[in-house]
Amino acid sequence: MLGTATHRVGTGLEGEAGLSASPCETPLEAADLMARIVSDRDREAFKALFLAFAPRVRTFLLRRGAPPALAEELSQEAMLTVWRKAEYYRAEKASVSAWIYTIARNLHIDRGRRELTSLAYELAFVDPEPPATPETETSIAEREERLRQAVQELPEDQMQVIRLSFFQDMPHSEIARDLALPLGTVKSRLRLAVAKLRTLLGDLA
Amino acid sequence: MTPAHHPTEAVLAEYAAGTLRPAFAIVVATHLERCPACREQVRLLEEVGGLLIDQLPGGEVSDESLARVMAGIERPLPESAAEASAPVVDRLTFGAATWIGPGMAVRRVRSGVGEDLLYQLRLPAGLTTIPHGHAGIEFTAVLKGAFEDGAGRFSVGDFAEMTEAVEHQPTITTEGECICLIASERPMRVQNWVGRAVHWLTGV
Repeated sequence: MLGTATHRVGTGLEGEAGLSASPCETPLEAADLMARIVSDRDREAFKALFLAFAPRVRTFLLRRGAPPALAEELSQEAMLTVWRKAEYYRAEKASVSAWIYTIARNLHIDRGRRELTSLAYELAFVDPEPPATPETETSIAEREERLRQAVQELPEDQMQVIRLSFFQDMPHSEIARDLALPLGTVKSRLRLAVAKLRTLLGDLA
Repeated sequence: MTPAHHPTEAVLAEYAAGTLRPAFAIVVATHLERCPACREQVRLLEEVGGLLIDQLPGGEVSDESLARVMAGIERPLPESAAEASAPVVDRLTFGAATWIGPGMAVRRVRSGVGEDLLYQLRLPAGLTTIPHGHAGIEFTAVLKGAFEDGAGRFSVGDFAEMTEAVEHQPTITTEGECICLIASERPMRVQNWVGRAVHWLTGV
């Protein structure tokens, strides 16, 4: 077959158990690629970001139940959205992967013809002006690193509920049924996880 | 004024994961528009979503896929919808009001909510509702005015989650009418004949 050459980017460390794995070598690298896309419309930077993230977004959508063709299509669409909406990206508000996560989630919701649900993610609000001292790239990367560590420290029972919720697109009631747990237990595990992350990240806010 | 009553972490986590049913997601969105603290919490949960994507194994990208996307970025931007400017609730399509008593009206959103109910409930100043329980889960966001019940005072932007265990009898404060946006799983389990008549009249 012609044209089967593939492009692969990875750290060689990734894998679901490899908690330190990141699509780009470091969060800073993704942040740097994104900064070049925003300021220079840098196509090479975009290509690198695409090669790193598109396969992961595809896997993410597959796990959420998208059929393979749709997962492929939406992963391309998500990365095109990254290019087109780059000017709206705010490094001080979200990491590149969190931003890509929201884009992929919203595209998947849109495609499911859940129009009202899509509307629920188009919030209208005015954020107060950010403080005068802009965060440096380093401190943003530091925040990501802290979050990464905080998530690693979560107990497995809490991570399991988070994974099922984000990956399998499962309402908490279904998670409870699948794990044969009372709904209250599922909710309290999430509450504990969020509370712990908030505490660990508290002084970075 | 920032809201005093918020969704639980579990509800915000479901919003961030995108797993709330439409009617419920809309009520949470209405609260989020007025609550910087909960928006911050959702952002944190979205960071967790990003981290989960990071942790997935990388993979291969076909030539075809790369070529398509690299060609895509050369095309002019499609006219994108302007960033949201009106609150979510103002972008919903409500049906005509059904008057259920003096100053009391229900307007339902009928499209896109599946088996759930999504409606605006308007009640006059000073009214005390009939005591009622909830057959399933119910989310409420206050759009105008305020009500009080055993859990405190709920004014504009506040969020209330009712479950089967809760039975309450809210009173509208005397300052003025109160309008709430409500999502519920099933019609309220109402105990007296007035309630049953209201249910029959409005489907709520």
